[in-house]
Amino acid sequence: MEAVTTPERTEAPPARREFLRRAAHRLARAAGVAFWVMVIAFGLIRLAPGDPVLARLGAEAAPAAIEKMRRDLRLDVDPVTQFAEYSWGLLHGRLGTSIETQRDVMEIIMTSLPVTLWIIAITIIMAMAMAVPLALAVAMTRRAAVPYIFRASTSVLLAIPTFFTALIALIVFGLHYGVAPIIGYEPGFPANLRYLWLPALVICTHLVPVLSRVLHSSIVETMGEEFVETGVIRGVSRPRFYWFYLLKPSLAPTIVLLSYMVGVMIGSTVIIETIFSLPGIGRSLVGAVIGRDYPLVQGIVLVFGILVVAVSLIGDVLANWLDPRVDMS
Amino acid sequence: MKDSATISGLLRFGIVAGYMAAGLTTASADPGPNCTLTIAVASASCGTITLAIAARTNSLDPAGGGPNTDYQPAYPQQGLIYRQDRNLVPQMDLIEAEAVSPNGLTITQTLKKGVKYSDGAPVLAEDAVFAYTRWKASGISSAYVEKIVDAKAVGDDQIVWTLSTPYPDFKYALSSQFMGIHPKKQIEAKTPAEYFKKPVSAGPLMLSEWIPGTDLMVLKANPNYWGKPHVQELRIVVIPDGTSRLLALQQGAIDYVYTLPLNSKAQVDAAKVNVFAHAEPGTFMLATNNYAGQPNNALKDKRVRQAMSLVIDRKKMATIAFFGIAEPACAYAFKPGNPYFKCSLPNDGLPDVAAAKAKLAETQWARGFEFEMIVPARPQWAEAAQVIAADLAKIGITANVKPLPDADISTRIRAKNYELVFFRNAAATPILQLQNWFAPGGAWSVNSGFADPAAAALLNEAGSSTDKARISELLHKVELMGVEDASYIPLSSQFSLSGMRYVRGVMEAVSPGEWLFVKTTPPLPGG
Repeated sequence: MEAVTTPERTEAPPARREFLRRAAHRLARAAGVAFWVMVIAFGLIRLAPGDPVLARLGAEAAPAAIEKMRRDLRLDVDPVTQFAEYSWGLLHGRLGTSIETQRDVMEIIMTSLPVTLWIIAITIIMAMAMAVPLALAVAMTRRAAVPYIFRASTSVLLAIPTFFTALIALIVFGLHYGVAPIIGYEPGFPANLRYLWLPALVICTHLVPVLSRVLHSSIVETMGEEFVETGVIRGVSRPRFYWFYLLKPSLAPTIVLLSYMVGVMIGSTVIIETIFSLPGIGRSLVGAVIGRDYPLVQGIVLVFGILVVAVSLIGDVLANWLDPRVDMS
Repeated sequence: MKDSATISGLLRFGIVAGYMAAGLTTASADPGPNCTLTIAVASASCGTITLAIAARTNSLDPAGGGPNTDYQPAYPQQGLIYRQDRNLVPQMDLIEAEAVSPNGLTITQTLKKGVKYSDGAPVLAEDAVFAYTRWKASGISSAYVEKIVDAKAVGDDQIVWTLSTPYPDFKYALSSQFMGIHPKKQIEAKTPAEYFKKPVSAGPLMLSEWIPGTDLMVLKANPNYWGKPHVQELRIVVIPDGTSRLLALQQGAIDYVYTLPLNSKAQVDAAKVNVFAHAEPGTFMLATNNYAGQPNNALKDKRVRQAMSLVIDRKKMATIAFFGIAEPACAYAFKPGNPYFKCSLPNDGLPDVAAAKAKLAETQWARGFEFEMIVPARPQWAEAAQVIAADLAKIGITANVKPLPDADISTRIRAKNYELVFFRNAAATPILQLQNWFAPGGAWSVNSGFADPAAAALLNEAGSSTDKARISELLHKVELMGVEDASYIPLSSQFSLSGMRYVRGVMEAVSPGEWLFVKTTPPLPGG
């Protein structure tokens, strides 16, 4: 009788090991990106013309007052020392204090970031809810004109600037029909939906065309695969057919694209938050840049960088789950 | 299993959609304003007024610098010895009496009996002296306090001011936003930054709710103020976009906006919203950099600058860029409420292209030259600069208009790194305004490098005189010296366009935007 050997329990299976290796690689890359974002944010805001002290006190301020504030803010030391002090603070979890409001930068970010995240989350949900049925319907239709109309109308939507759509939406839904508040915000779900559905809808006018076109192309491509024909021959139920045979294999590129679009959407929310007067992080960033509030600009840009890297990582993992052929690295 | 997860996901979509539909049905339930146009001015009293401003308030510290979106909300919640009334006239606020020595160099003020802060603590004379000390140390608008040698508290209720020369504009200086009175002991017990996050008030309104740098500030009537404010609650919200401000006003979400887009008047229902222009105590102007390092030699020749002033069509600029709201300038000093106002520009400021060409022909730049005109990227300012550039082109001068953010403009001016700037100069009084331009240490004389001891001497005499005819004569002389030198070229009056859904006189910003007037019963003495 042969002796039965127990496999080494300490060693992870190769697939899991590979996953962990790739995840560690991605995390290391994310840390590197965050570091460079920090360095670039620190450098760029200082390279930009303008001075936080003059922005605060105005051009008419007396030189003595300017010098005093510069000393108080440690802006009188050289940039290398400033960077060292900033990095030391970061290592201790301190993002600094806002020059303009004298509030803790982390506190400002934690107050305004959720608003922006809610806008993005609601936009994604709305966009997917519109893009998936639309792409599916266009791909499944037998009328030759429909794909042309689809492409033309999505091109038109993409060509209209977001700020214009936002103002028209405010006039139509806010002023004319009175179904959306023009100003104000109430934190917390679901109360915030009342204030966020219209901004999200406006962003969707750009996001839905992009997502639906990519998804439409993927579905058309998937429809040519042999397993789809097999599904048809086997007579699988319609919902099962749509999800397992068409959507699931087609969604991966859309999800990856969506995760990268989050970075673009953060850019869009700056305009949207300004027009809809929403207290999101985009507006805080605009105010901080105008006021040359160095600590706040650095803090927000760093958080943006981490956010974009994290979302793209999540997007890759999701895409890998939907379609294992997608390379997560 | 995965199917059920999908269904559950779809259900979650449904719930979200349901909430959105609920939002649609409740969106129209916004409470309306408590003031309407039908209320008579004398009896007007408003529960809540919602005011929209363009930028977040970052600080309520009167000595902290900052834009008018900081000072405007701070003004009604700070104690003041003198407070500006609706007509821009300083009136006694926390004091009940003032005695001026025969030589005009010592002023003794007595606080009203029993004046208190919103927390019940008494307002002390030392608090007023402390406010002055902090202002002076900040260096902001130092010309206002230049003639004040000393301030002392005598007992709890007397402030004694010592002046270097008689100072007729003294009460204007004390009514400015920089002189906000707060309790010395509380500021010293904390830090100024910490105290001014939730200051107490000796003004008509007091802070109820606010976090620095956020979108909402709620002020309530101060029960300890000596007068009863007609406004019970003031909600200040931030709407950065001008069109959104106008839409919110039309929708009824807000009751008052201080700055609207200049084309707003034609877009509103006049029965519901009153859109009106504020004439402000300021002048739009061009200022040349006179420092030695300025590389453009043409701009250093005063005949060139005179030619530029002659060719500018001020009326056209006011009409095209400022929609006819601004008044073309014929002098340096502002016109509204200025008892000394007199035109000083040749031909009352009307353009004279032939004279401009002739003047330019006297110089080596008869065929023209090129320069950079920097201008703050504020609504319509760049457009105004473009209209001027088009006029200058008539005599061969090419002005490259460069709109820049305010922070960049400040840096360029402070670094003396500019050739010519489009800006404005506003002040509480005509003497202070002219001092900004022509007196040593004046904000614009520092910025532009203007130095003329003769003009400074005339202004010093005007600032110390109580003889109105003499002051008028001196100021006109200064104006003519300015026209001759032409380092500054006045263009038009300063203004803003406001919109209101209730009667005027209850509560509104008074020019140039740093002061928020609140009607009280009894009113400010003399107001």
